[in-house]
Amino acid sequence: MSNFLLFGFFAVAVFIQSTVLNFFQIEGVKPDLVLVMVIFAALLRGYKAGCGWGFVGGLLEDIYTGNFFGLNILNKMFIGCLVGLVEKHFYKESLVVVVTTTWFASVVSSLGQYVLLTYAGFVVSPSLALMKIILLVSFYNAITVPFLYRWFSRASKIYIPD
Amino acid sequence: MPRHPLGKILFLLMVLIFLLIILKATAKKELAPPAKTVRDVLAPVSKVTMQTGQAIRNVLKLPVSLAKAVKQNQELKEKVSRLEEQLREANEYRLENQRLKKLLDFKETKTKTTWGAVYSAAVIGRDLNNWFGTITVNKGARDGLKVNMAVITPAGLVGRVISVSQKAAEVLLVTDPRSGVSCLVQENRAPGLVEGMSGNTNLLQMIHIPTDFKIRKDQIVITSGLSGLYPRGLSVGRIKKVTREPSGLFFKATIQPFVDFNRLEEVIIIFER
Repeated sequence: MSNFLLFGFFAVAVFIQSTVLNFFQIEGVKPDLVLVMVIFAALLRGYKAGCGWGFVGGLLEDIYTGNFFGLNILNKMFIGCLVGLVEKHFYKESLVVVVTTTWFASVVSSLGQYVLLTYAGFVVSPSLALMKIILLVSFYNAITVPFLYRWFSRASKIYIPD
Repeated sequence: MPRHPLGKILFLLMVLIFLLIILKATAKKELAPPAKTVRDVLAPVSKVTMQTGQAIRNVLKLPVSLAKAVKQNQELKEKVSRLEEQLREANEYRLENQRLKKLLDFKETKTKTTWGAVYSAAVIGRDLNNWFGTITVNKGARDGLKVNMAVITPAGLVGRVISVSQKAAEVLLVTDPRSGVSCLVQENRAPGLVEGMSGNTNLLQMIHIPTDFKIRKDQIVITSGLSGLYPRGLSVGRIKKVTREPSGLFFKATIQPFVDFNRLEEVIIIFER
């Protein structure tokens, strides 16, 4: 998949996340599509792609949001680099592995966002953040994997045996 | 980018520090100009996409909705008869009020609860993150919207406009932790500050309620109009739980808002007060 096309996917993901996904919330929470795509890019293309697409995805989100600039760049880039660093140790053809990785990376990402937001003066009670956001988003991100991973990997022209 | 490993690390550190500074600086600022442009360009597409999303959800929920409709119909019939009774009672009070006003020769004054113009707007987007409580509406500066205008629905208070571009505006919901509204408990006029708890939870908290007031479950909270941002008397929510603040000097109440913030589709913007 060309980088241009992947950039298009990220832009569409940002748009969908701010519009259509609001109708599919669970307990007021929607999945973080951009994060899921950064994790996929890092798993399938390695460290450099993970860092790079984490930066691009985060930048698109920060431009769209307009405030707390840097929150998504720092967060997505960190997760992209982290998953990219360890992807060689994973059996990426297994959906269970990808689901678990996505869940764990989402927990780390949400915790990172919580720390950055607290630093920026946006205070949410820790118990509320954990129970109502961090765990729920991570779970929701993980359940999107079976629907998106094979499509994403096929679009990336990386062969995955059935 | 520097080729030496130490140079790379220093470069990344500089980028990190720069982004942390920018993050802090843009935390409470108005929408950045590129974001305003993006929002204006995408506003018409967002509206269509939101309508499509809503249609898909409605189709998926149809079987559940039908089953619920039968039960809801029965409940609504009961509610209508209860409300009719209350309306008759309220009419009695209204007539009594008119008689007493005449008796006292009371002069009507324009209060802050009256507003000159209202405008309806469709919700065309929400914040990307689950942490924040903001929505984007399809009316902007060209329609006369300004920062700090109050936003409501027939059910109650929604929030206020925090940023305006030509074709769209961003509204800070009262559920966002950055929001603070001066309020009263309707029954005993106990004052307090209503804050958001987190963007995605449909809950609010009222803090700094003096302990000399009797605060209990199911009391209704309304806006006090003291801050000047919101008109007086707008319904906010119903008290769900009351606790003491850690200092022991005040009560703190958890409030269930009347507005369902996860299902906002249209809002009303108050133009003049």
